[in-house]
Amino acid sequence: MSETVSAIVKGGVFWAGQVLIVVVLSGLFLRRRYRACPSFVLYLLATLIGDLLLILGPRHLNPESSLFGLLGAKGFYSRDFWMLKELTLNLLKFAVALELAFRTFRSFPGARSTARSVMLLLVAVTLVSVVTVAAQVSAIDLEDRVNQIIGRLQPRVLNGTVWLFTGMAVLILWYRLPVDRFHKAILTGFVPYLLIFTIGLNALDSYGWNIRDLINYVHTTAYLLLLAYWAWEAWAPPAPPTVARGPAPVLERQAV
Amino acid sequence: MLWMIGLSVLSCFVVLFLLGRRDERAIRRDWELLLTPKGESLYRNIEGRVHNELALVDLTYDEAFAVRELGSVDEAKRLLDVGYRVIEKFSPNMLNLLTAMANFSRMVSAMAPVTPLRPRDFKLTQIVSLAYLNGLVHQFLVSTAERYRLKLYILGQSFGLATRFLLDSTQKIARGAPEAEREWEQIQAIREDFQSLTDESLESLRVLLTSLAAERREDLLKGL
Repeated sequence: MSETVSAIVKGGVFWAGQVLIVVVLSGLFLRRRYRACPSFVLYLLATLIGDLLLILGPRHLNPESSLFGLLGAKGFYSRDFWMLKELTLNLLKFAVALELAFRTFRSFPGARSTARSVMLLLVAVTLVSVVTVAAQVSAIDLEDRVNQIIGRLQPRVLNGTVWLFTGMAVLILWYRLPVDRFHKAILTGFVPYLLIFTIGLNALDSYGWNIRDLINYVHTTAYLLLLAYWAWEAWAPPAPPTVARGPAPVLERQAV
Repeated sequence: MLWMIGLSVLSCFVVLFLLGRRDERAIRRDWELLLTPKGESLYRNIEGRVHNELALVDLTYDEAFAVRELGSVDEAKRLLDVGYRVIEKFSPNMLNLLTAMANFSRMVSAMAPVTPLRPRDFKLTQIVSLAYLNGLVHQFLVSTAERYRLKLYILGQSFGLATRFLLDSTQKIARGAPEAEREWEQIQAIREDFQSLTDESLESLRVLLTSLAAERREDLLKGL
C-alpha cells in the first residue's frame, strides 16, 4: 500500500515538474523573453525532452534498432542514456552561464575584460578539478563506476557552474551593472538549486546510497521551487519605464 | 571537497543576498545620469551648491580677518567660530560626495586620464605630503579607474586633515593661546587648501559625469 502511495507521489512530482517547465517555456515565448537567453530555452527543452524520454521512451530495444548501439538493450531507461542526458544538461548549464556573462558585460569594456579573466580562471579551475577526480573513477563494475561519476565527478562540474554564476554576480555588484530582470532570475534561481544538488551528491558519496530517499526529497523540492520561481518570473508583466522610488540615488542627493 | 562546498555555500549566499536586495531601478537611474544630459545638469547643481557654501565660508572668514585688523578681537573670534561651523557642515558633505563618486567610478571604465594632486597647490605640510603620496602611488596603478579612486581617497583624507587643523587653530585662538598670530596664518593657509581641494573634487566629478564618449553612450542607452 505504502509503495503504491509512494509511486503515486513520485509520479505526481515528476509530472508537476514537466508541467512547470512547459509553463516557464510558454511564459518565455508569450512574453517574448526567449530572446533574453536562448541557451536557457535550450536547457529547459533538453530537460523536458530528456525527462519525457526517460519515462515514456522504449525501455527495451531490439539489436536491430538504430539506437541499440548508443543506448544498449535497456533503451532510454539505461545508465548510458542517463549519463548522456546529464552531460548534455551540464554543458547547457555552462552555456547559460557563459551566455549570461556575454550579454551582461558586452557593453561595458572595463567590466568585460575583468569578466573574461575571471570566467577563464573559473573554467580552468573546474577543468583541473574534473580531470583530477576523473582519474579516481576507476571502478570496474559499471554500476559502481556510474555511482562514482555521480558522487565525485558531477559535484565538481556543478560546483564550477555555481562559481561561474557567483563570479558573474560579484562583478555585477562591483561594477554596478544593470541586469535584465529574467537574467537575474536565472542567476538567483540556479545558484541555490545547484548548491543543494551539489551538497546532495556529495552526501551520497560520503554517507552512502542509503540516504538516497532523503536527498531525493530535498532535491525534488528545491527543483520544483526553482521551476515555480522561474515560471513566476517568465510570466511577470514587462517592467514599467525606469522611475526610481524612494530616496534619490546616491549622487543626486548631493545636489540637494 | 567539503571545504570547497562550505566556501561555496557561504560566499554564494552572501553574494545572492546582496544582489537580491539591490535596487535595480536606482542602478538604471544612475546609469541614465552618466549617459544623458541629466549628468551635466546634476554637475551644475552640485557645483552651484558647493560654490555657495564656499562663498559663505569666505565671507565669514574675510569678515573675521577684517574685524581683527580693526582691533575687535572678540568679534573676530566669534566670526571664526561661525566660519568653523559652516566648514563643519561643508566638509562631511564633500566627503559624502567623494564616496558617491568612488561608487560611480566603477561604472565608468573608459575614463578621461586622471592627473594626481599637485603638491604646489597646497599650503599645509601634511596635505602637501598626501599630494606627493598621490603622485607616487599614481605611478604604480595601471587603470584610470584605480587612479581616480586613489585621488578621491587622498582628497577625502585631505578634507579630514584640513578640518581637524582648522578646529585646532580656531580653538587655540579662542583660548587666547600664545602665538595666535601664527594660527591666523594657518587658518588663511587652510582656507586656500579648502579652495584647492574643492576645485579638484569638482573637476573629478566633471570627469566622472562626462567621461563616456557620445557614441558609447548611445550603445549603452540602447542596452538599458
